[in-house]
Amino acid sequence: MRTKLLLLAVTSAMLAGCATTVPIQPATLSFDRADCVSTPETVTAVSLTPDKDKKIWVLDSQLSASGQCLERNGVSAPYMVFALPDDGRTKMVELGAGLELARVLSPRVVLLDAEGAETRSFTRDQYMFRPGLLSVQFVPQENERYALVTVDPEPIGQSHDTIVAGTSVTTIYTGFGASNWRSGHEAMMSRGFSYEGAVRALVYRADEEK
Amino acid sequence: MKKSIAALGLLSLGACASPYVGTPYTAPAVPVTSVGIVDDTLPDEAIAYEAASTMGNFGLLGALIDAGVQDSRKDRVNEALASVNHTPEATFEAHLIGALADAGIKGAMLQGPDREKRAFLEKYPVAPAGAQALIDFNVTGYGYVNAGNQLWRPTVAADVKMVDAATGKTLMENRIVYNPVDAQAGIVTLAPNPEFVFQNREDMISQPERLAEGIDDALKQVADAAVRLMK
Repeated sequence: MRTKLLLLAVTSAMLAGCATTVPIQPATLSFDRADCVSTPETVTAVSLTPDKDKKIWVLDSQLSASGQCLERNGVSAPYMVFALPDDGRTKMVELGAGLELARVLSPRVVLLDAEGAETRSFTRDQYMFRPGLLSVQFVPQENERYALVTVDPEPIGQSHDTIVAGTSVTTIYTGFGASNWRSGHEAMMSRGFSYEGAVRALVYRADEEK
Repeated sequence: MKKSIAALGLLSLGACASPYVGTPYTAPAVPVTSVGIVDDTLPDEAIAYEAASTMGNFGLLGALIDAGVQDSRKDRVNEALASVNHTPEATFEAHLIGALADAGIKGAMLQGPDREKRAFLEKYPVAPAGAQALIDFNVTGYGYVNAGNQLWRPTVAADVKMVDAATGKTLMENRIVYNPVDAQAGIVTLAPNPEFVFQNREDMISQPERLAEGIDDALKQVADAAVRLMK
């Protein structure tokens, strides 16, 4: 009896640890502010210089409708600016939207020089879905100092529908010990493109750096 | 009789694997407009793999039975594809050359030799005259996959690399997986086309034309994604 109670307690603790309540945010389908600036602010840029001992450095942020806003090519949208690591310090940088349960930020990434002028941008078909992300990967060039993340308004109102397949392992505890049971699962996911949402940056350390 | 107490610990196998780190393409000052494509882009046979089969959970004996079932299914699927003269490599290479042309890049297939194993070549052949780069498009697997007691859908996994024809420097390297099961972090993933779905083995082998069409559709999407990575 005591063994059963102990197992139940352990099981409950494990399940409680897994049960994170993440609120499901719907896609933000409109954005209309009159106080947007016409030039992105680089002084407050978030640094993407990684900790030296990390092979992959991950930085999560949120692009919010109540934050900084930029009017660019006649379109107003929230934005944020990252300061890129020094040339040669990284193998590459990955930047884009984090996939949320019901929405994904419609990302537009533009690279800027020290004066804030555009050096490089990416066409819509260059953004790729990678596990958990809709992102672009790039190697910062010598003249590229900042990465602007804002919103591509065109996909707003559309959704990204995908079938996700995976396997999971269930550990079954019995009176005779434990065994693992591996099973498959498949789910249809639908996420609306949004003016707001999660932004993720990954900085990959250069190979030669110890 | 003791009652079983089950504790659920959902583990993502994909999350356990090391992230894939590719090499993004940086467009050179002089754009690449002509490439040679290394021969032997596809394996000889399609796969028909159930990732988490029931039998696979029953120890060594179960694993042996599972291996037999998986092999038998794969053979039947390949027989079905052969019955409709499915030639995925030729279709794929023709589509790749067309997709490159749409992106302003002239592509030409190199002739032989076949790969000794499904990996990037260690030494590249001489590029054809005028080609600025070579493309090593190594499809490591294609066919059908089922996560485990789910539906059968097309899948393709490919490693693609572009090297400078003159210096051998890697200009781009990436991994693309169409319909991954437990996707590895860092890879490019492509969602399966819901039009191509099969209930079971009999459903697959009784519709060989549609079976082949699903593979060709998946391969074309992988080729298109690779070309987008070369921009």
